[in-house]
Amino acid sequence: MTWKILVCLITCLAVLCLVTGVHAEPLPDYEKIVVIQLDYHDGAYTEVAQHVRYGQPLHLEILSGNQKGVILDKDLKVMKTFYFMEPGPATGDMIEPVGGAVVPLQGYRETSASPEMFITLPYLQNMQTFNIYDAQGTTLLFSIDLTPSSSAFCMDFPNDPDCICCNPTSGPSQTGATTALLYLAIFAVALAVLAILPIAINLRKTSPDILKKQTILIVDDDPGIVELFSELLERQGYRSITALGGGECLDILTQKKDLPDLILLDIMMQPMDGWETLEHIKSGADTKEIPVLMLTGKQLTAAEAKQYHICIEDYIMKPVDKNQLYAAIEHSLNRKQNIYRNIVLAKKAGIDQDTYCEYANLSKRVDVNKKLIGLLQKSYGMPEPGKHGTGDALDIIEQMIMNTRSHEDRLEHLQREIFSAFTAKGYPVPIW
Amino acid sequence: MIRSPGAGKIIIAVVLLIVISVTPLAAAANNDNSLSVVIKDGKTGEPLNGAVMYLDGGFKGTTPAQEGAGALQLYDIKPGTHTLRITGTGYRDSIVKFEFPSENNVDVMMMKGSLFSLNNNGPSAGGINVIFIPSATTFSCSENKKMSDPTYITNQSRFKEDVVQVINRTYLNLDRITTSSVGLPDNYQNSFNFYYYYNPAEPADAFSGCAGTVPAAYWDEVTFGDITVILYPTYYGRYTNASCQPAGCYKSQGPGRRLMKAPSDKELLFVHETGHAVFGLVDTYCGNTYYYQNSPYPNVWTSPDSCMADAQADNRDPAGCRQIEQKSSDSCSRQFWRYDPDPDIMANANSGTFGTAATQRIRNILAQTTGGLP
Repeated sequence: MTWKILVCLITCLAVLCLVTGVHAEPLPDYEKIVVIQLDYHDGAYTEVAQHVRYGQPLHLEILSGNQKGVILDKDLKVMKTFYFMEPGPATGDMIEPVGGAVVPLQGYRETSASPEMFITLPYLQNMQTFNIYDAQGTTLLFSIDLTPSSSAFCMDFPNDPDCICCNPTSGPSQTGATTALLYLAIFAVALAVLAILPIAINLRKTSPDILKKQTILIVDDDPGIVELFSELLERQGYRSITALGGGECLDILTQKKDLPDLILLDIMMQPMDGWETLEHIKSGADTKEIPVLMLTGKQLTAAEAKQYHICIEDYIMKPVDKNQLYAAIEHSLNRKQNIYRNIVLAKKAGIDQDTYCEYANLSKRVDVNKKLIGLLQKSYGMPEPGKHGTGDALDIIEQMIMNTRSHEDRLEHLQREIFSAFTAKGYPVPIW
Repeated sequence: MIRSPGAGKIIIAVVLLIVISVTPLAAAANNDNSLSVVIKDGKTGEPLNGAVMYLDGGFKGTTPAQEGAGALQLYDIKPGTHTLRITGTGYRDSIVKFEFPSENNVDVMMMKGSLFSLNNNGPSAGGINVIFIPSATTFSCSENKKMSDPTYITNQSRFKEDVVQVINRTYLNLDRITTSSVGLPDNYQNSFNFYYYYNPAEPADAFSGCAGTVPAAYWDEVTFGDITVILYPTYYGRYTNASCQPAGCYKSQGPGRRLMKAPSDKELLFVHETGHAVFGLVDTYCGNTYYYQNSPYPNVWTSPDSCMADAQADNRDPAGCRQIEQKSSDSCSRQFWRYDPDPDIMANANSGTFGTAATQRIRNILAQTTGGLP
């Protein structure tokens, strides 16, 4: 029964591939015209310009006149013939009689001595020459080689079907072949997947977590807290790994087998506390980019904020509400992902990498500093503006406030530059 | 754990669908030679849905209608100069050259077109393309000067109404102003594709030269016009001397650039100019105009013999052939011959019909666009 289903699915897939290949794209419009600009003086034509362009042709068959146009191919075989009027005369009409005389229409003839003429021809593959004869077709009045305009067109549009003959290494046929190969590849991959499907299904039974989840390393010397946070994070869909102290944390990171996407780091641990652990993490080439959230029951001191504010992503006080924890983790992870995603767009929008990185770093710094300043102000109170020497802690807070304002000014300037570049390109503006 | 019997089928189907959708994306994601093209409305800046893109002349796709509309990602772009061509319904085609990879993001701003179809079911493939464009000028013969006339360029609805009225009373009324014994092809009304071109910033000038002029941008957008009609509301004053500009005129600047002008309030003059412009008919009055024997099915001949020979061949009375002349105080005659009886529209713009000879020519032209004679 299973194999019947598989055969049915393969058949459906093949049909789907074919249908997709045939109907996914609308019919392209490759219609073109040749425009020849001529000067006409004393019955003689001279060429001014010729070009091929995309556009719909007109109906040459409804024209009439005293001259005959003939399109010839490279073997001088006639491809199309039509008649048209020589340029110059315009026939105008007056509608009122003169002085009551019965003259229904008055003629008005305007003749230019050397009128411009534009001959619009349908583009025909292999057309090479256009000749103008008198109406009887006996006297050749003008002949023009159309090769220059065709060649110029195919320089700009080498993949146009009418240019493929001249450029066999490119063109829609190749595109078509590429598309066909692509769908063939899809079909082949689908078959391969079918072959390994039983294995995958078997794996699914034994390992429900095939899809990679974001991994969070919980570092705390209290096994109860580690277990509690681990359960909370797993419940939220994260994968957690744990370390009962700074040393164990660094051991995990040193192994480099399973680097976490984010670290929740307690401060008050023995023998290595959280700040020392943080210093090691941020000094490791492979680990310095991992966001670290300090998660602690210890009040943040001004000196610690001054020393470590640049190294941390957030500072969360225990006891912590689970929703507050989830929000802090999600905010940090999203910021990291957005930076990586937008740096590609920034480059395409013409923003150099240093500018973008400065913007990303300042954005993070301002965000973290504001959080830390808020925590410090709860402990130490508000520094009085302009009043220095009120104490080390308040000086540090005031300095952090001033630095943050300075960062914000610079950030605003960069933000305008980057948002402008992104908006001009139609990219969504970066948000952290 | 108990699994439902259909679970296996669902898993298989889901995996296959994922493979189908992810494989091309995965292939694309690994490609560094990618080009991002964003297509927007040039006025609003909004992403443009359904725009068709060609790279170096080859079709590459259509901008999607869903989220992310207006943007297309192209892969496997070779270094060098490339040309993008973008088309969109209601927009002018856009051609953009760029250097890859130094320009790997290309923004294309599409400008709204000025051409509007008047056929309810859209243009037909073989139809004669007639495009109307408003003039911002008129002429006063009594004052002998060109004057501005903002009627049409300030009121698009008025212009469109006048165009539709003129079409209904002339092009679609041909069976009443032609000779019924000759007859026109069945459904000849379907032989025409009517459009109007409206850009008040760049109107036509009906009184710049005999047949007027249209802006250069017009020829960029209208490559397929079999005839361009410069329409203006009315002509002022009476004809007093030859220095007055003509009320109607036709001029050919070559196949693809054929212009006629006429006031919308003089329908028979409009028909007369249409006789020149669309059907290749020649004036049959005697005056300062351009005579030649139009072929096939002429309405003017260079000799009485050729006129009578054609008449006999068409089972018409050769006695109808007569020289183009005017018996008046200003006696006028030309060495050309006509057949159609008066009142003949090609001789008189106040009354009349297209006679047998003219109708045969009209019939022949229409037959080429309607699939043959009845």
